[in-house]
This record gives sequence, structure tokens and C-alpha cells, in this order.
Amino acid sequence: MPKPVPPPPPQPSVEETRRAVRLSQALALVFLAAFGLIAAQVGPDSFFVEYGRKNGASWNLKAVADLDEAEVRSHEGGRVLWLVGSSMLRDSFDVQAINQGLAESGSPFRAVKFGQTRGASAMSRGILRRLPLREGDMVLHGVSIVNLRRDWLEYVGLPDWRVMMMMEDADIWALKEWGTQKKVEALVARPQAFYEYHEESMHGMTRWLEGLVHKQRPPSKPKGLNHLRWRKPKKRDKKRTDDFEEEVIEDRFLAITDLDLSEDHPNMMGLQDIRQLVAESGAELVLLEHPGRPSFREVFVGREAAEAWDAWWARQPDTVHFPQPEDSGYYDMTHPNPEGREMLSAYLVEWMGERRRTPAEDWVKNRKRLPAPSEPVLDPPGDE
Amino acid sequence: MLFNSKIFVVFLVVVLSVYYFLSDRQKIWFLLLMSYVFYGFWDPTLCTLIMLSTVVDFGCGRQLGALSLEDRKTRGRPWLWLSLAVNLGLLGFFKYYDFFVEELVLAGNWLGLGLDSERYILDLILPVGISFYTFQTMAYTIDLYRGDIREPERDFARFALYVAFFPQLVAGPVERAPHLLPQFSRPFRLSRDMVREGVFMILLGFVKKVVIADRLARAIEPFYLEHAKDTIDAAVAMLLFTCQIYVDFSSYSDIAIGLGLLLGYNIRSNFNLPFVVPSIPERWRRWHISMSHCFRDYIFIPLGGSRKGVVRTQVNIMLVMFLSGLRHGASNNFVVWGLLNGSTMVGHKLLIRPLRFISTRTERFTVTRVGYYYLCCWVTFCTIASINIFFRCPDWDTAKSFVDAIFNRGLEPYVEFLKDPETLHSRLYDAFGWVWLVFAAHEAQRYLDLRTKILSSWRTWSVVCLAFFWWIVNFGISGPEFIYYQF
Repeated sequence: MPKPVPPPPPQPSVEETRRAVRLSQALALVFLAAFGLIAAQVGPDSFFVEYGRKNGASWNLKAVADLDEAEVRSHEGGRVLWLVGSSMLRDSFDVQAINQGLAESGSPFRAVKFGQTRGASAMSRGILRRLPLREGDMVLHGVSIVNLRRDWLEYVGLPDWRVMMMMEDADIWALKEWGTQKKVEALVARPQAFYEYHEESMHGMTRWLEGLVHKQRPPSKPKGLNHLRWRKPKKRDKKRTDDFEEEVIEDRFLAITDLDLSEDHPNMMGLQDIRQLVAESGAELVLLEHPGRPSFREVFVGREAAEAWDAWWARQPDTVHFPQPEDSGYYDMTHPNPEGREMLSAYLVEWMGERRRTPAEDWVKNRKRLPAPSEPVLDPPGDE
Repeated sequence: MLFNSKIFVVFLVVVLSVYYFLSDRQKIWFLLLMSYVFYGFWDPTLCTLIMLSTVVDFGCGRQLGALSLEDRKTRGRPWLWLSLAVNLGLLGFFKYYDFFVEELVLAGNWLGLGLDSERYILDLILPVGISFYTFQTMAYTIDLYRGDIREPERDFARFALYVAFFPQLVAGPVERAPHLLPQFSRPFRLSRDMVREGVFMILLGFVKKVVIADRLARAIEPFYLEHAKDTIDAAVAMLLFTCQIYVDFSSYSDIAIGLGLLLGYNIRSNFNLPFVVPSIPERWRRWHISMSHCFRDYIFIPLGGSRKGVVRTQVNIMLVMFLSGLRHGASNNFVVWGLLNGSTMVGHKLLIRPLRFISTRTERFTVTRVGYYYLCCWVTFCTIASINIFFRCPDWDTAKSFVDAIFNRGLEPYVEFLKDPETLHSRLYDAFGWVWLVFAAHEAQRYLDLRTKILSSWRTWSVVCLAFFWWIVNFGISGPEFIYYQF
């Protein structure tokens, strides 16, 4: 016979119940206060976040917050070319060299760059919302076919807190890739700054404590230049097209069924918002395509998908056609290396002066090199 | 709704702030409503399955209760069969239909029938926790049929709450009617000790989940995504998974027990220090106790248990472990996992005499006794971890690659590793810190009974709870779902 199941334990008295209920309510208040206290210690500028900042979105937001508009507009003409986009844009332009070229050509523009990994239009609008756009400014925003995957959010693996950092509640609610539970989860995450930065805060605390353990004093804070830098190519990045295994190609291949050019794709909605933001400020928007290596399309993009993309791109009113570096100008399939960056930066300087008079293909043949080399390339910290 | 989510924290705050102000009758209805909200967060349509199971077993229970204890075994049989058919039908259809169809198509094709599995497979969504609540409702009807429960529950709301009680709805502990149902009939009572223990258990559960289990999951996950290549990495990932599953699963039970206490209900313990145990049977006595008891009371004992001779006992053990494996999921991996666990139980029975002989020889000195004890614990742990390869690997081929990497490459990789342990993957190396923490906490609880000490002193309790709270808040409450949600 099975052993009998024990009956429930005896119950406490009514008076004890009253006391216990009061205790549980008091504890709820204590935990609420404790949470408020802990949450107040975490934010974009908090002590440990300064040590643990490791994400491009966070670095960009810091750079925007620290932006001195007067200084940015201190040159003659006072107009700004805002370069805003993903890591492809970040690695395509050398702002220091561009500004030197613009100064030498007497342009009224100076460039300011905000590039972040996985910083397609949906994320870039978070930056643009915070920028002091003025009439006469220009916004150059990078767009790529790879960011219009149907499952973009899942494919690029953006952490929720990073999405929350760059998108507003309404943007999050409109994400069709997220289920209701996930959206509600993001909407109840209050105070928002705590949830957006607590991972970096923990990382900073760990780093700070490790510093104490190993060096007896805290390590220095990372310098906030991440958004201006680019990735230093690693050995594994030097893979040529024929080095890719079938599995990798299959995983990254973009067929027409993977492409989503509908208006409710997060990056399409982001692009729409960017257009509206720029128009409201009286600035000019220019869209730049990041085509990747010439061989990128052959290997990773299906013919129908490429045609659909080209047709869509041709319908956009505000595009610019830049020269495409050779395969040797990229360190992977989509990101320019120093050689490609120098070429694209040089074209941007000339294009800013002559505004579309020089066709990109003709320009490449007899192009001028930029007058000065840029700062040494630094490997940015963290996951960028 | 996941326990480890921000929305659950909001949900809990709402539940507790309303709950204490309601009358006893309102409390039942309110908890029932909230339990359905909790479950419906995944997919509201899945609530209909719980509702169906509830209505059928409530009806069957009423019919069985109307019969005398003697008549239940004869005239009550159709009601029992109806309950079993509905619950096992739901479970079988949603959990096993695709698996069995796939296996039948394979068998058919082996016979040359040329069947296309795509035509028959339905790609059904697995309702979260379906095995837990169907077991709970079936247990009620079986208990009534056997006369273990004399009177059926006559109040539908109370019975529905027994089936859907949100703290233990999706991953147990599987509560038995004689223990939980009477609690819903009693007036609401709470003590400060219950509040204190409840808060402690909830925080302990969250610390185990978000601080330890999720860190281990992050370290291990990449190694199980592909076929095993390196012997040492595979072996360490295997050992770490056994730590992860214990911490992850027991954390859910801790939170469930804590929530129950705060609501004024007592939920039975599901684990009794199963992490460091000297034998496989001992481990099963301490692991997932509520489900083990269900298997014991509703399958093992009715099959004859250990009363029908040695051979029959071993067959019964194998059968129970096979079903236990199948309960976890519809795949060959779980079937093999169950059979291997059964084999180790049977193997232990066969080896019991030589093991006892060695044990008595080591009793003489403390060093040998303790050494032998921990050697047995280590062997048991490694055995369980090896079997768990089939539990963790996503498919048969990955599991085979792990077995091959760990057991079929000789001792050379292990010797090389012992010469230079730095070769261990840094990600896994880091995870060992958490394992030592689990081991230390486990043994401290066993020998020092830390939990009682913490709960008996207000000061210690306050410090520990605030420390736990700080830890949880800083690590972030969101993370991957509990492993046992899928079962």
C-alpha cells in the first residue's frame, strides 16, 4: 500500500494572522525602499557604469550627452554633417581625416560620427532623437540589405536592455517580432535607467573590484571615444569568400523569403522616424547604402532578394551613390578596412564640396588621397 | 508568465496587495483568477486545457464520491477510465503525438512503405507544465477511486484552484489532494514565521536561479549547441550541467514554496539535499520528491513494487524509470535517459553486497570513512552527469558526440589536462566558482542546518534577505526560463 499523504500542518491564531499580514506589508515597503535605493545608484553616469561601459549604444548615448554643440559649430559656416548608423558606417568613415579635408576645402560643414554595432535605422533613431539637428545640417545615414531581414532582432541578437535604450515605449510596442509578454516586460521595467544600465554597472563593479584585488587601486575609466573608432581587424576577419563553410553561408544567406521590405519592419519604421525627425528640424537627410564586398552579394544574397532590394532602393528619394571599394578594401564581408575607409572618406569630402557632380565610378579612377593619415586605430573595449 | 521576469514581480505585488484584504471566499476566487492570468500569459487558449482537465476530474470525483468505498472499485471504474482517458489523452496528444508519428513513419519506411512524415506531423505547441497539472488531477481521481480520499471536493472553485494554483502550476511540486485541498477549505491564517520563511525561500530561489543557474547556463550553452570536439570541455560541460539542473529546478520549487507560504498555504518540499549523495537510489529519494512519490504510489506499487520477487522488482524499476524518462519529453534521448537511470538503480541493487563490505571496512577510521563517503558521492555524481548527457543534448547525434568525446578517446586527454589544467576553456573554468559555492552551501546546510539558523534569528534573517535582495536586483531578474517548464 502507498504511504499515506500527510495532512496539512495546523494553523496559527487570528491574532497571529493580523500580525503576520502587517509584517508582510511592512516588508513589502522595506523591499520597495531598498529597490529604490539600489536603482538610484545605477544610471547613464553612475560610478560603476563609468568603469563598465562596454556597449556601443551606451557609448553613443554618452557621447551625445557630452556633445558640446557650440564647439561642434565653432567653425566658419557652423553646419554639421551628422554621420549616424551601424558598425558599417562607423568603419566606413574616418572623421578626423574628413574634417581635415572639409577644412582645407573651405566647407561650412564638419562631420560628427555616431556608429554602433547593430545600429541600423531602428536603433539609430534613438541617437537622432537626442541630437541638436539644425536647419542647414545634413544627416548621412547608412542602410544595408542585411538589416532588413524578417527576423532582424533575433538574427542580430540584440539584448532587450539595448533595445530599451534606443527605442521609446511606442516603438517597442510596434515591434512585431516581440510577443506581448516581452513588450509588457519592457514597459514595466521601471526605473528605466536602472534596467538599461545595470548590466554595465555590474560589469563596472566587477572590474573595479578586480582592480582592487589585483592592482590595489581601481583601474582607469575607459575613454569615451568608442563611437569614433573602428574595429581593428582580427586574423579571423581576413577570411576570403572561398573560406566560408557551407553552413555559414547557409546560415547567413538572404533569400527573398528572408527579406522584409514592409513598412512595419523595425528598421523601416526607424527609417520613417528618421525622415520625419530630420524634416522637422529643417536638415537634409541622405541615405547611403553599405553594399559590402563586391562578392558579398554573389555569396550571401539571393538573386530575387537583390532585385527586390534594388527596386526598393531606386524608389527612395534621398539616396547617394558612393564608390564601392574592391574586396581588398574590406576586413570581412561588409565592413571596410583602413584602405576602404580612406577611399570612402575621401569621396565623402569631395562629394560634400561638389554635391553629386562627380559620378562615383569616374571618381575612383583618378581620385585624390586624403591629405593626412588618421589617428592610430584603437580596438574599442567591450563587445563592439 | 515566468517567475524570473519583471512582469511576475508586478503580478506578485498586485496579488499580495489585494489578497490580504479579501474574505476567505473571495481569496479562493481571486487566486483562481490570478492563476489563470498567470498561465494565460503564455497563450490564453491553453487555459482551456486546464479547464477541461479540471471539469472532467471534478465531475469524475463527484461521481466516485457518491459511491461507497466498496462500490468505487467496481461501479466507479468507468469514471476512473474517463479521467485517465482525458488526461492521458491530452498529455499524449500534445506531448507525444508528433514523436510517435515520426517513429511510426520511420518504422514504416524501414519496411518499405515510403511514408512522408511531413504529411502526418502536426507541429503541436507543447502546453507549459502539462505533465504537472494532468498528474495532479489524475492523482486526485485515482485517490478517490482507491478510497485514499473518502470525500470528494464539492466546491468547484476550490478544486479548480487545486489544479491551477499558480505557485506550483507549471513545474511542481506536484501536490497531492489530501495535503493541499483541505487547506483551501480552512480559513485564511498566516504566521510571522510563515512570512519570514516565505520571503527567505523566494529570495533564495531567485538567487539560485538568476545568480547561479543562469550563469552556469551561459557558460554551458555554447558547448551543447554543436557536436562535442574537445574531451575536457565536453566532460566539464557535462558535470556543470548536472549542477545547473539541480540549482535551476530546486530554485523553482523554493520560489513556489515561498509563494505558497506568503499566501497562507503549505506546499511540500520537493528536494532534500540531492546534490552530494553516496548512491543513485539515495539520489532518487531526495530528487523531485513529489513526482517520485507519484511514480511510486501510482505505478511502482500497483505493478507489485518489490513484493513479487527480485526479478520482478528490477523489471518494475526499469519500467518506472522508462516512463519517467518518457514523461520528460517525446524523444529518444529521454527514453535512453530513463532506461540508463533504471539500469543504474538495478546495478546498485546487484552491487549492494560488495559495496556494504567495502563500507564496513572503511568505518574504522574517520579519514577512510569520510574519504569513502565522498568517493561514493563523486562516483554517483559522475554517473548521474554522464546519464544527463542524454537529457541535455538537443538531439541524438549531439549526445553521441559527447559520449564519444568523453568516453571513447582513452585516458590521454585527461592525463594531458591534469598536466596542464590551463587548457580548460576559460568560460568553463570561471563557472567552477559557482559549483564550489553550490557544493559548500549544500554541505553547510547538511551539517550546520544553516536554514534553521537563519530563520531562527531576526537579525541574521534580515541581513541575509537584504543581501540576497541586493544580489538579485543587481544581477537582474530576467533570464532564460526554468529548464522544467518544458515538461
